This record gives sequence, C-alpha cells and structure tokens, in this order.
Amino acid sequence: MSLLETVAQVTAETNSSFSAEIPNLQIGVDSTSLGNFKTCPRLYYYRHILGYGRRSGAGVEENPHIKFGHIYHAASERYDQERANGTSHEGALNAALFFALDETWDHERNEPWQSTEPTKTRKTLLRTLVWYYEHFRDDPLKTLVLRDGTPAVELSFRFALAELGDEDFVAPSGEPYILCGHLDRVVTWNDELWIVDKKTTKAQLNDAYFSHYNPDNQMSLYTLAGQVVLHSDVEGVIIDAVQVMVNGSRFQRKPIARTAGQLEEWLTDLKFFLRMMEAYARVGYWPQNDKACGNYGGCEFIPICSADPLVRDDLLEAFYTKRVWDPLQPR
Amino acid sequence: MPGLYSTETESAKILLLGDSGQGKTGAKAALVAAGYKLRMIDTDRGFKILRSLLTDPHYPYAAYMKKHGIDPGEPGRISYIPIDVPMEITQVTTRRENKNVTYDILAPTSAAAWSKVLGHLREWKDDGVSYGSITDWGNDVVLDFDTLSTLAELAKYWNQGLNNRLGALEDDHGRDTGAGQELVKRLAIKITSPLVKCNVIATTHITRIDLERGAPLSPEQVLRQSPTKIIEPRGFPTIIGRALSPILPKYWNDSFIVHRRGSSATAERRIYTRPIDNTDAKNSVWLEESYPLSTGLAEILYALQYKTLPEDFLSSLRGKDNGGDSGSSATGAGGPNPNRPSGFGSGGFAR
Repeated sequence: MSLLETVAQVTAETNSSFSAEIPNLQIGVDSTSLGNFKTCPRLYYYRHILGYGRRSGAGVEENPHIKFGHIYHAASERYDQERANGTSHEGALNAALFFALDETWDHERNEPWQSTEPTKTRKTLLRTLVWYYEHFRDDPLKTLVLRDGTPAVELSFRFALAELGDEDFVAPSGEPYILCGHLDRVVTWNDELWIVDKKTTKAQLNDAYFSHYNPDNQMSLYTLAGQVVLHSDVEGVIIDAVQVMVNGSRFQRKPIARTAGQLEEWLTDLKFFLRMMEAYARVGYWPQNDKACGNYGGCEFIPICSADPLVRDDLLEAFYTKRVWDPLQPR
Repeated sequence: MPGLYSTETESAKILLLGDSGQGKTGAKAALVAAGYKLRMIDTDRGFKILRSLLTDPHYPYAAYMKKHGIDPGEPGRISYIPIDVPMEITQVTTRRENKNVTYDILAPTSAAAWSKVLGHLREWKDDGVSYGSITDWGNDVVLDFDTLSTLAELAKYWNQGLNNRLGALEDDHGRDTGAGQELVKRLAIKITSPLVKCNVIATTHITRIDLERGAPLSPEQVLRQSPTKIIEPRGFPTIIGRALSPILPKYWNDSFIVHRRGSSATAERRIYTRPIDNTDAKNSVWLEESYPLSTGLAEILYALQYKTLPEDFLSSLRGKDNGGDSGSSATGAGGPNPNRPSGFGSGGFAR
C-alpha cells in the first residue's frame, strides 16, 4: 500500500465527512473546506485531507489574526450561552473574559500570549470583549431559544443537498453530498429570524469592507443553510463586525443579502466544484493555484509549496501538526 | 419572449416627484376612480386627503365611481398601511473619546417600521385579510409608497436599531445613512423587477443637489465654499443623504413631477412628463407634456398600459386644475368643470 493510499484509508476511517467508498472524496462539506478548495486544491489537500496545520513554536509563528478571531468567537459564544441561560450581563462577561484570559496564557512558558500583530493582542482582545458587551448590553438581537430549551449559539447544521430537489448532488458512489457547518448565533430581531456571524478585522468598517461578503462562499452557504434548517423564515445573515485597532475597537452590524437567483447560481457553481473534487480524488492529484499564495497575508503552506517536491513530506512532518477536520462532528 | 407589439403584461413603475403640498397624494384619487386597486404604504400619514377626495360629494370622484359601479369601500379596493414611528424622550448611549456617553434625546421608539413594510410586501395583510405577496398581484393593482423619502428614514432607524444606537444624532462616517440608502436601493431593485407585475408608484419629495463638483453637494454647501458662485442645483428624489438621490431614478423608466405654477388662488397643479424646474422627468411611452392633477395619474397609467379610459372620465373629473392647455389635447376632453366645488383645483387638493 502506497503512502497516499494509507493516508486515504486512515482519513476514511477517522473522518466521517469523507466517502467510505471513494478515497479522499469529501462528502460532508462545510464552508471552510469548500472555501479552501475553491482557493487552492493543494491547500485543501494539505489542510483537509492530510489534516496539516501550522505548529506553534519551533520557529513557526502562529497567525495572530486567526488566533485572535478564534478566541474572540469562542469567548463570545460563552457570553451568549450564559446570557441565554439567564446569567446576568456581568456574570456572562466575566465568564467570557476568564475564558479569553486562559486562552491567551502560554501555560508552557507561564507567560501571556506574545502576538506579533499590534492590533491583535491579549489586551486588545479583552478590551474588545468588554467594549462590545458594554455597547450591546441591551442587545436588540435576542438569541433564539430552540424547542429543547437550548440557545441557538454555535448551532450545528447538516442537510443532504439532494433534499433541495437536485439529484446531481450525489457522489459517483451513490453517497449523498451533505452541506454542514456551525452558525455562530441565530437571533430574533423585529420578529424576524437572522443568522449572526461575527468577524474581526483591522480594516475600517465601511462599504468596501462589507462588500467583500458579496459574493462570498461562507455567506451564501449560511444563507442557504438558514433557509433549509431553519425553514424559509430566515431573513439572511447579519455580519457583526469589530474593527480592532491598537487604541480602540469599533462595532458595526450589517445585513448581507442574497437573492434567490444568487443562491441558485451558488448551488450551480457548487455542483461544478464537487465534480472537480471527484476528479482530483479519482486521480489522486490536487493542483496548486499559485495565484492564491499571497491571499490574506500569505498561505500557511507557502514553505511547503515553495520547496522541492522531494522534501515536502519531511517539512510537513517537521513544522506542521496533524488533526482531523471533520465538520460533521457537532461542537 | 414577448414580441414587439406584446403589451399583455405591461405594468407601470413610476417615480412621482413633488415638493410638499403639490398634490402628490391626492393625485392618486384618479387611479381609484379609473378602477385600479390601490395598496398604499402610508409613511407620510396623508391618506386622509385621499379619503376626502373619494368620499366627499363636494368632489367629483364619488359620483363618478357610483355611476361606474366602483365601490371604494369594497374590501381590497383600497388598502393602506399607516406606518408611524412615535418619537419619545429616550436615553441614547454613544461612544466619545473611547467612553460611553449617555444623554436624553427625542428619538424614535422603534426600529421595526422598515421590517413591517417588508413584511407587507411579502404578505399584505389588512385587518386580518391577506392579499398575498406583491409578486402575486396583477397590473390592475397599484402599489404606492407615499413617500419613499420618509420610508428611507425608517430604513436608517432600522440600521440604527440593529447597531443599538436608535435615534443617535451622530452618524460616524455616515454609516447609518449609507446603510439606509443601501436598503432603499435594494427595495427599488425589488419593486421595479419584472417579477413584480403590479403597477408601482414611488412617491418622493424633491431635494436640490449640485453635481457640478463631482460629488453631490447641497446648494448651501456649494455657497459656503464659493459664496459668489452662481449655482443651478438639479432636483432629485429626496432620500436620506444625497448619494442615492441622483442614482435612484435609473431604476425607473417613468418619472414625473407634480408641480404647482403660481401661488395665488388661481395656482394650477399639474403632472409634468418633461423636465421642469431643473428636475428631470422621463417616460417610456408617448405622453402629453403635462396633465391635470385631478385625472393625470390615471391618464398616464392607462397610456403606459396601452389602455383607453372611459369616455366620460375626463369630462367628469377634470377640474379647474386642468388649465385648458397642453394637458387636454391627448383625449380631446377636459375643460373646467362648472360643478367643481371651490378650492378643488388648488388648495383642496394639496398634499
């Protein structure tokens, strides 16, 4: 058995989002994996099929934007959960801050997180959380409480695309493609249902910033998912954006709309991308898109792709860590 | 694909501009008299004048409709949704120099009005009766926004509410205004879409804007910059801010102006289909240069739909505001109505 075949077998055995029949073919697709596939098939291969991610330390710096965003999201989730469960504003904010303090503490070195990005630091994270929840202390957006009493925070969803009435959304193996993911928060606002997605940026929160979300893979997918799993009552996605600066944080929310025609187009495109995934999986080759390497501050796999193919496996083992990206696992 | 002479699915999408008090709302009485079903989003609370015109025997519409079997009280004939946003003294919190500052201000009490309007477009409900979605209606219905100018303010409130600063006077980088404009632009795209087969009238006030310097500036702004400059600002639909106003007309194929000439008791109000007072108008079919206010909208709508009005429509309904000039030549009818009550032509028709 070759190395690639071994990887495919292990992936299928440990990752429920991959086909049990066709090696390396993802069946349960979320916005992150689909977005990475659209960006660069090789990036997708490294991150989602082989499961590699940057290892902190060992001379490799963590991406401070990604780390900041992850902790901000997770801390916000704690606040929203606590509030929906009846905890006071102060109690919920304390829970969120304790979480953020712990996550930004390097327990091995026993020192606070040293960020290389001046706008995304431990201090700016804590300040942003305090200011945000002070500003939205009486938030007009109320977290939806589901029938079982749980708040709709980090709401996991999954549905077979064939349910939309298109039988093309089935893999050659007969397995139905599944769209899955997690919605930050579902809220009611003026008796309407909205999906809220939090974003952090150092960019100004103007029209140019929000225009990046149309077209946008994640927003189209979430709008569609909202309409399917929350029925057609959902109005759309509200981007709940935070501009993080060195000396301050600003907040701006804006609805992101998709027309029925735009969603239909996105689904048509998805069909083509799934066919491409099938083709690459069939031949076991995931080409580089060398025009996307510089996106968003640079791809984390530039050191790999810029090296000779003969040494890439060794570099991956040395500087990257492995984990399973399985979007079908509920959080 | 419809052929060159296919007119079966024609509906009219009209932008109706006019300064306050020119008679924009009252002009719609003619539509009801002509047999159209009127569905009005009444953000300017002007329906009272329409009710008077259609029911008060001093005006000619009630008698005309009775003669032609049109019952304005019939369910579904006229449905208006009053949209009101009360103002109350409210505590507003804003951030100044990285500190939250709270102060009392007269501010809207709710941001829900915009959502309410959209809800009615999705399913129009009046007194518990559902009239379906605007996309279900045919071209015998006129959907009227009276006015889009005020509705734009509600869109701004919606965005302020979303961002937990309802009623704030500061508009950091014009974000609330910009968001309101974006919502109105999307609404314009929606209601002028071919999927909306009913007739649509978006009524607006007029804002004067100077475009000579590459950016939309108010006349006051221009004069502050160049006190000696002679300016000729153009009239555009009033929508919060100025950025959307010059762009909005492009969504409509037909744009008309309600305008009063003169200021005395003999003042004359007409609907103009050609540019007037530096305000642009445009039409998608051949139209007279202007029409009397009392019948003009029905005449225009019928022309846009390639239909012919009943013979006695003009002779029964045209009042003094006809004026007897260019407006009467299209149909050959018109002329002053000897039975017209005093005030019908000017003061009694204003809104």
